[in-house]
Amino acid sequence: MRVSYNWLKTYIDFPYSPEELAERLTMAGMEVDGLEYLGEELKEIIVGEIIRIKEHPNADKLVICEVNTGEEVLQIITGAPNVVEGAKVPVAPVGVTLPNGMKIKAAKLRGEPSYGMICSTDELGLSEERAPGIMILEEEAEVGMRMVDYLDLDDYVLKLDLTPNYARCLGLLGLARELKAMQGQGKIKYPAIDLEETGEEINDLIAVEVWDEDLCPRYTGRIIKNVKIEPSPEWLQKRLAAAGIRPINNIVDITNYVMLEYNQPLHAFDYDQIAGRKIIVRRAENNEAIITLDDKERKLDDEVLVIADPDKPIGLAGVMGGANSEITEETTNIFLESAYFNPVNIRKTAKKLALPSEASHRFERGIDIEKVVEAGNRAAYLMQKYAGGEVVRGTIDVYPQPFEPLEIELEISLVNKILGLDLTVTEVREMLERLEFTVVKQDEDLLLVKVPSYRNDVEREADLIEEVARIYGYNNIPVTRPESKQQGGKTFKQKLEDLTRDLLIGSGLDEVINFSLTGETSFDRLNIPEDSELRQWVRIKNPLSEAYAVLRTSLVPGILEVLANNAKRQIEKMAVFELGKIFINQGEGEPAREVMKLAGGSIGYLRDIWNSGAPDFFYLKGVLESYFNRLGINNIEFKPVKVPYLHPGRAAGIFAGEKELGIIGEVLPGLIEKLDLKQRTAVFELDFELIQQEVKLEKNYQPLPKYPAVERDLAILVDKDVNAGDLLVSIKERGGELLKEVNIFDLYKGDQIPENKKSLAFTLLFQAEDRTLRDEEVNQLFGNILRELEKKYGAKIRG
Amino acid sequence: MDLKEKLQSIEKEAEKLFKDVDDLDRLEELRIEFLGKKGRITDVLRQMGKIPAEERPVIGLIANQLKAKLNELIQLKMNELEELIREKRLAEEKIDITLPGAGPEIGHYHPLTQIINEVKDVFIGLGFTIAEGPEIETEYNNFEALNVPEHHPARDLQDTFYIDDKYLLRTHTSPVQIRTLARQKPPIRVIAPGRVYRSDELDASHSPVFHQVEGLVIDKDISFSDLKGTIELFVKAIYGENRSLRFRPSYFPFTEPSAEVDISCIVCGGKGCRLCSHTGWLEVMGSGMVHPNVLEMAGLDTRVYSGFAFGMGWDRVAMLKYGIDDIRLFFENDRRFLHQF
Ligand SMILES: [Zn+2]
Repeated sequence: MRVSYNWLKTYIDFPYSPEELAERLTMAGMEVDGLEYLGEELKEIIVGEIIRIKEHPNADKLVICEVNTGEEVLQIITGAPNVVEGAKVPVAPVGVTLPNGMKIKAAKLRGEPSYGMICSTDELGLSEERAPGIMILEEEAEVGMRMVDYLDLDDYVLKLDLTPNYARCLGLLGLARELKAMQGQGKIKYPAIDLEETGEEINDLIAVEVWDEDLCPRYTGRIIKNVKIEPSPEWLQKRLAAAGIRPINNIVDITNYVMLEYNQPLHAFDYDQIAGRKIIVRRAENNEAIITLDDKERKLDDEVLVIADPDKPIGLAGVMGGANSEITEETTNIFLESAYFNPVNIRKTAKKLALPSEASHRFERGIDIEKVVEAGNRAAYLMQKYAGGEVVRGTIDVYPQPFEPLEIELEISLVNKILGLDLTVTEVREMLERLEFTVVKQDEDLLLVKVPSYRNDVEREADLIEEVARIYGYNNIPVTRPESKQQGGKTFKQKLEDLTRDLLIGSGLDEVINFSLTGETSFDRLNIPEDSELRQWVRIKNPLSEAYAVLRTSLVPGILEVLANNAKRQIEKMAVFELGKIFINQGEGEPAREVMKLAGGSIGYLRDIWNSGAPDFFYLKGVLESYFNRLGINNIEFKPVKVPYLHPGRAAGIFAGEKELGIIGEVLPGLIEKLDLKQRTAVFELDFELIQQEVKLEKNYQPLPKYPAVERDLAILVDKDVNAGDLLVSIKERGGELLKEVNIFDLYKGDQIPENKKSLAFTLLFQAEDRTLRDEEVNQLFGNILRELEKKYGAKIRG
Repeated sequence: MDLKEKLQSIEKEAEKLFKDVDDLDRLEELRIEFLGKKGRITDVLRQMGKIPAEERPVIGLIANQLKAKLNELIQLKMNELEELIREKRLAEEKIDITLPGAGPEIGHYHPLTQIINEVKDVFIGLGFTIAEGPEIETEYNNFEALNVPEHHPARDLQDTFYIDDKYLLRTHTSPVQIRTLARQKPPIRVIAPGRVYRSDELDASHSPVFHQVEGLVIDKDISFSDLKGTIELFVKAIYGENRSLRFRPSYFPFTEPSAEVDISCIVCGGKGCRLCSHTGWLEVMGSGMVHPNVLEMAGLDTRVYSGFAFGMGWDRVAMLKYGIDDIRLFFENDRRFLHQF
């Protein structure tokens, strides 16, 4: 809400500057998130008088003016057609910047010097369309006066960002009341209401029926006759403009003005457009329609409350009036509505029709049901004063269940316990009374507090405790710390997440964090088939855009996008990982499955240990092997697997026993370009929750070997397609208990090797726990292994 | 020349020769020449038969002394030469120690992870555990159980992504409070870091996906002053001892009293600058005493138990701490950005 500093001051005295006021309000819970000086743009414009006009010697369309600005007489050249001697005009002297950004400099126009500019309304930002000439000011304007003063713009606007519990401060009187409580003194100057009722009785002119009392607990109205529709007075227009409301005509402006004063939205109907002299407040019928003030047709249903006459709806209650009863230049008689509508219903209607308004904003938050009539009277008075209206005798007031103030029991010991204070019952009482709560009963430790009608945010003792804290001052409350009764720490899973990050980062991967909102196209690009689980997305019902319309079912698209985006910035080598959630739809009404995944990718890794042309694959594989090893998962196997976006010859499923933990592989060559990757890329993705099940972090000491180990190298030739992993399995099987370790140290294809063959070299380490191994024993085992490899894989020893 | 003179002249010659030796081979050569079986001293001793018997012991003594002296000389020379050789080899093995190391490349923690780790450390030290909850929440846990009824204006404070009539993407980590209250009895002391969603267009200061961390403390006799003390300790641990704090009334549906926490601006220290919109203060977190409605919905007796809760956007903590002015940087994962942390 925009609040004029000067306007607020008319309701209560306070000693604060605009800045101090902003600070005070903020610290009292009404956050001011901006302070605007209304005259900011016109600060340097002054009132001048054209004392003499001369022809320009070199130009027909220009004239030379001598302008008195009080301090000096400036020569200013202008082409405006409406300059006359003696006119008071706004002058921008040299050095001034106009609201449109133009900086005034001394200039020569067709050879004649000019020291400033006489401004038009649009140049001053006072009108939007281009003015035909300069702005001529009122005769009373004083030469040398600041335009800011002339235009009454020497004011500040506080931009209040009010939370829903400060709805009462959506009116200036409510704000004044807060200020009074904050100061602990002062008096609110209520606006004048000097009604002179004349003529008929309102009941002879109109009848009101409220059919849905639950949606409209109070409906009041007044009739003002013979109004003259015209622009409202300057000062009123300016106040509305400062509040951000566009002035329309005196009647509409007055309803808005009083809304800003009382926080009571009002609506003025053209009385003569109300058929049958009868207002009915009722639910709309399904498929009933109304054209609202904004000239749009709105389809209604029976959840929407309308103001109707016997023939038709003439307004959407609390949201917007109807075009059919709008105030026009021809309007002479007004039916002025002041009502209290059900907040929830107004909110639903405003949402449903996408019609938020100043009125609905206030009704939704609840207004003061006890001030409905007073606000109506205030508006009627202003219409009498500024629209020449005659206020008809009497008020319609349909108020079947008058307001019953809430009474709350407040234990002082609870106040002190919650706030950590030691207040007495009298102190608490005084604080609440400052806020106009009434204490009905006082005991040693108890107050029975009556809540004023405008405090619908106060529902129970906690709300009163907040009021006490606010008046006492949050920053005056002591600082203590509660006794800790438990040990802090992380769960196993949380520790494992930390360990995972530590290990992968230690292995050279950068951690990335991607959005979990994504678009289907990210998956289309990866050739994900229609029936894949990866297309069982959880969909957002109201997405911002297609790019953020579903929740990710895999971390891989995000990893690839990160690598591609970096590749675009000439990053040639990068390895990344992400530990994050994916979401799998489980069908309508079922909660989605949220699974923690661990994924990574690598481009540009240089060391190609097997000369395989797939260094990134083996880098990531090595990282994962070390990772599993550290987690105590020692039964990991890599088995060929098919993944739509991975190279069929360079993809593996990662298994711990029978359990598939995830996949690793190189991105399909055809996709590299499509994904903007620029070079071969390896990725992996693992199910972190399965990893968690496999982890064995408990350690058991094994005695160190006492007897020496025997090392033997084994170099063999096998067919190209034989997997090294299979050979390792066979070697381990045959080697039995005495074979402690076997490693591959060389892979060779090419010269000196027959075509379709490859050479693999292993180091085997034999060791017994109870004795030094004899050569014969080792030879025998070695022979067994070799024979097995010959038999199973046609391996030949390489001499 | 008699034998004695011979020995004396050998001694002189040897001393001179040994002095000039500069490699081990030459030294060995000389050793053989003087001390070898066919060396010059032996040679002299062989002539002993030609001299009178009574002189022999004297010559023998001189000869032995000479041998001992030469042996000592050789040993000294040898040490000296070996030392030279060692030095020479070391000199030859000199490397350019300013060449870069061959250490393993180490990755970088995402700045958001670094920040949340700091946050966790502070609270674990205060006896907190870490609670978690799903990102797809029920409307009930995200709103109703937190004292935000369906048609309450407080819903406008958070633009929500909906999945269906029952589920939504949590708009804050506060539903973890509800889940914690459902499974744990007081005393409760948890923080809940996690990812949250709001239907905000992505720009420099808004993101539809961001991160919050929630805190909840419930026990007998927990007061607003305890809230202040806990938050003050945390804020100083994260933003520095010199920060001043202020608590300002605010509104969250699930706390009452509610407080916004401001710290003195980390750029200008309170004088006013662009970061703090010239107020000198930065809003860093929301907090408050858990609303009795929330406690009652969780089945707790509000006459016995009370508590406080707090929450903050941890992306914002990282932005303030590192001076990052665009939230999108966190999710772009530009290597040049990541490698600064
Ligand atoms: Zn600052």
